[in-house]
Amino acid sequence: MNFVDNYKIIVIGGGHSGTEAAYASAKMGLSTLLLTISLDSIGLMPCNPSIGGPAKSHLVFEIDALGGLMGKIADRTSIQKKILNRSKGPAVYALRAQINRFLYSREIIKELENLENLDIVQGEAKDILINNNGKIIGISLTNGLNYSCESIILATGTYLSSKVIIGDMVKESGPNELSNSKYLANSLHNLGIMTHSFKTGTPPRLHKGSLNIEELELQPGDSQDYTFNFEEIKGNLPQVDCYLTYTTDKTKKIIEDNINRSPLYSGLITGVGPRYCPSIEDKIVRFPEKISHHLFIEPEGHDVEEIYLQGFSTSLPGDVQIEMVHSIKGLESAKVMKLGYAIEYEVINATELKLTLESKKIANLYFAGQINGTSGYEEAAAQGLIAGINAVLKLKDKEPLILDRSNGYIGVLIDDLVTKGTEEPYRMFTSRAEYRLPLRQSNADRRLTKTGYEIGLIKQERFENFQKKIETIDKEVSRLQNLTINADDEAVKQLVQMSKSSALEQNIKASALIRRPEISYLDVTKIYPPEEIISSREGEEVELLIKYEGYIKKQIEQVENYSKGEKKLIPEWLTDYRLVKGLTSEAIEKLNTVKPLSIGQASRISGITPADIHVLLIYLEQIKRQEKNDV
Amino acid sequence: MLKEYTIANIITPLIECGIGIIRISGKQAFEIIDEIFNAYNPAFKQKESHKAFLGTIHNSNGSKLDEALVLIMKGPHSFTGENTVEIHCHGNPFILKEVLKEILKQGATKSEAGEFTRRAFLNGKLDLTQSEAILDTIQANNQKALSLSLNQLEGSLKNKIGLLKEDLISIIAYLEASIDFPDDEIEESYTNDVINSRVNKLLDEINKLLKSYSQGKIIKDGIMTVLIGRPNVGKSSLLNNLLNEDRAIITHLPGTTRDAIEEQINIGDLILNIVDTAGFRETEDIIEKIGIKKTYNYIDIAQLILFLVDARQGLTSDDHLMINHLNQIGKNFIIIMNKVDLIKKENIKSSNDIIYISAKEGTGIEGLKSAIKDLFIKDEIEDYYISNLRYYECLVKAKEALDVFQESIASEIVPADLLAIDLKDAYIALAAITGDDFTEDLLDNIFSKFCIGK
Ligand SMILES: Cc1cc2nc3c(=O)[nH]c(=O)nc-3n(C[C@H](O)[C@H](O)[C@H](O)COP(=O)(O)OP(=O)(O)OC[C@H]3O[C@@H](n4cnc5c(N)ncnc54)[C@H](O)[C@@H]3O)c2cc1C
Ligand SMILES: Nc1nc2c(ncn2[C@@H]2O[C@H](COP(=O)(O)OP(=O)(O)OP(=O)(O)O)[C@@H](O)[C@H]2O)c(=O)[nH]1
Ligand SMILES: [Mg+2]
Repeated sequence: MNFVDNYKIIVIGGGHSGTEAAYASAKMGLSTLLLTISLDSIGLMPCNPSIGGPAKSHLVFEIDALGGLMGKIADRTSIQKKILNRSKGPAVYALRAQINRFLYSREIIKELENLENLDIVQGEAKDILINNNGKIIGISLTNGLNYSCESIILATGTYLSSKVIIGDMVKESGPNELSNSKYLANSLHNLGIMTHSFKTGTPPRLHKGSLNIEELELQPGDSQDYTFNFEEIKGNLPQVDCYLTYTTDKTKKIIEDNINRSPLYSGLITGVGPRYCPSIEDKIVRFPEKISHHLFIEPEGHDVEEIYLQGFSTSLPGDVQIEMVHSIKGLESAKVMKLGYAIEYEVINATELKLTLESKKIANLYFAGQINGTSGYEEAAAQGLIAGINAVLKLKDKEPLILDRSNGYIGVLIDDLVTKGTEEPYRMFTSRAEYRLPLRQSNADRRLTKTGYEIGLIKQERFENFQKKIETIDKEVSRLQNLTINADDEAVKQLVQMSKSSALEQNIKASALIRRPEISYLDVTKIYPPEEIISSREGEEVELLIKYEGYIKKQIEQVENYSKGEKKLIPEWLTDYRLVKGLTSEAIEKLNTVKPLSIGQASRISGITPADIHVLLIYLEQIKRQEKNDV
Repeated sequence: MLKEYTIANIITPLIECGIGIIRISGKQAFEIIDEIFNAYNPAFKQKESHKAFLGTIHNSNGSKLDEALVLIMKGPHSFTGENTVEIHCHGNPFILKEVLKEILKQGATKSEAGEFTRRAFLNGKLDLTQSEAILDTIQANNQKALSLSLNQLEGSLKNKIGLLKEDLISIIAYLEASIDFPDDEIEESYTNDVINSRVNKLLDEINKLLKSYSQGKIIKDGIMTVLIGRPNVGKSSLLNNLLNEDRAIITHLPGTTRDAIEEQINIGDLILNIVDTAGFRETEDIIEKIGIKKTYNYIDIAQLILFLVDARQGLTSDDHLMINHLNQIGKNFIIIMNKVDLIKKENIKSSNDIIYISAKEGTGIEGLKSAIKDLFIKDEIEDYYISNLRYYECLVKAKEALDVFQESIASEIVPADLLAIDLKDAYIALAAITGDDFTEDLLDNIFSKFCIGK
């Protein structure tokens, strides 16, 4: 076979997953090829022009803490920022950025183009090439070229054998009129990897100039200062507003009258769609009592007219879509630039993967992003980063990077996918994390930056700054825990009175004062300032650590308990659980598919009972003893 | 799932015999014993390994349950390899069960069959050959538990727990939906007050279920019934009459029954576990004295006391003392005038409080039975009840989590994400009964209730 070029790692896909994977791989020093059907799809946001939100922003903070791309590029290209859930508690504060999606793609491309070790090529992968020993040797493209490599990361997103559907029109296509991937699914099937179809959809895009802005409710943003990235490098794009509007009873009627023309109800669409992103026709059918649904109008950039109509995803025929849009308050004469559509695409069953995202069947073949059954830019990016890192670590003969449920949302995401699989497109929610409080976006760096540094994605300087930050926070917390405030301290008396807090009856620690709901860290440090200046982010973290100390402790105890199970590893040679006498046949089947890494993971597989776990523990102990006897 | 909790159980057969042993094994073993045991020797505090201490076991109200010998064994030098306590009690099934109940209240979990052995094996205390046998017990136990829990969960109890869970998850769904979907229209009808009152209602229901545990236990395990009365009034005769066999020794000599005798009889749907005791009176006989002491222990743990009186003598001043005592501690008791065949008809003063029988001739026995039924089936039996200790423990956990939640919500400073954590703990405790997955249940609930999404 003729190879035009040789790489260590080839990443198939230039979406949010593929770009993180390629970035990590090249940064970590291996020659890498990023292959994409179209260069225009690199860093493309085919749906809502925003990044972050609850749980998703946690993922972005974690990606950034590990040294990934998404956070800093989102900051650089944001045109509105919002801090969500301020009042709902420290575990769920979340940042969301509206993005100039055109600039986002451009910035991602710029980062990648200038990266050592990385080549970017446009072309459609056709076949994964494997030698007689089942080892990956490279890929072939539909254009006839072949590239050799040792590892492949598949991040084909919504392009794999995808179909775009509007009304009764079905078209073989990827999103945004880009070509889809026609052959690769077949190549996977030949390797014994099964696929099935999922579905998602997107709303129409409108021309902003054609909207009656007066009729819409203004949705301004918060300050741009709050960043995803650790260095707090802020963007400098002009900030723009979003708007809120509502569907009317007319909208409802139009949809009801035309529901028989919906591909969802006519049977054209068979793939499983996400319940958290229902189309507007779904919402009308499922919640008939709701007269009106709210819709957000989000700009796709500060310098373009194209706007995104959030909440109005649809695959009804074009004429119906236009009529529907015109029935919305303020959009009576709106010009539709792009129709909404549904897209069906192929995904694999992620239980076929290891926690490193490597295939259990084919060594050195990794899967990341939407192809694993997830949905969302952040979910895709997180997996891309982990797959990229692990592909490199394996080729370098190093220990894999496996984040568990107590390390971060990334750990929760991958553990869920690999251990349980998913029956609908999987999106991250804060409620999926059982140890939510220790997994704050504000401590993502504490959880992950050391790892990022060790694998080579975090620069020395940033690492040192990170260490300084942690030290500062810890020092400040202990200062306040040890600082005694005199009950007749005049300044404190005044503070207590002003904030309508109860008077001090005796001397108390500064931390106890801060724990009072009416009193903040800033209040106290105005009277008792720290020796060195503390940044506002550091200050917030200090306050949180003091105010929620009890809850944090409680959850950390739970985490410790959980970690014990994770540390009880199941040896790699145990791949056929029929060897384990005493397991039920259901348990054998499940364990054989998932092949859990640890006893903890095994216990999370649905249908595995405590008794099965005991049987397994005893089996492992038996084996251990036998081995000892044999020596 | 792999929580290393502390386990406890009775490890000797549950029959009347010299001693009965309860074993506690695990991290908290020493803390737990300190809660229920007062050693005569204060050196017990040091928990020196492989030492035995005499003292008294008491329940949480401080009433003494038994005098016992407690052995301390520090891990790894114990059967299981963990910190272990063995309590050697008097070998009476009722007392042993009561002591175990106290231990479980203090946070231990009742061990499954073979669990001590399993731990011993995993901690390197047993050799390989023994592991096969352990596997067999796990499997057998698993099958039994499966069929048991399936039966238990048929029907109304399952529905009841299901309703509680549904209610709870809809509150959590509200909190979580407003966190995960801050832009969506989540109904504002859920103020803290609304949530609080719904949690209150839930707590009421859970408390009712917890109370039904005794009802459930009565139905499943029987009513702990104790026959008391002065010597020779006919206690053993009544027991025999109810049993239709010559189990207890009857003589005309007062003080014949020296050890408590336990038997099981059915009255309709009810099961009575009847203990026949030695009659109470001052006596010189030392063995009898111990027997009588035991009678008092039994009175403490009895759910029903059948108080026999010789109809010819009527209530003596001793009897009145006893009746006062029973009233004071709030026990169910029935006063039975025996030997009516020996008194004149006109001396029978029928009343609601006193039942006249002749144990010898069998008269009045039916009346006695219906009096017992009235006593126990008077509070309307709900069609669901908890009889399984594991479910009981799950409900206790749920209740505790909800209690914490109420404290938090009352403090007005705990934000939604943390409130949700307490509710989730409660839900997980309930779901442990029916075996469901929290995240899936939650998402189902959110997506079916709230119209969410971009
Ligand atoms: C219509 C639509 C609606 C969506 N709606 C939502 C939503 O509401 N909410 C939400 O969270 N997410 C939504 N998404 C999903 C979101 O866009 C994706 O989750 C995310 O972009 C996936 O990232 P990815 O890297 O896995 O794949 P993608 O971003 O899809 O990128 C796939 C890449 O693979 C390349 N590729 C594929 N096959 C080949 C091949 N054979 N050879 C070479 N290159 C190949 C493509 O060129 C592309 O660069 C939507 C997506 C679409 C298309
Ligand atoms: N006539 C008559 N004799 C009875 C009746 N019940 C019991 N007796 C007699 O009373 C005597 C004592 O009966 P027990 O049943 O041994 O009395 P007890 O209360 O168990 O006595 P202790 O075990 O010694 O405390 C025996 O001789 C019985 O036959 C009764 O209803 N009528
Ligand atoms: Mg007797």
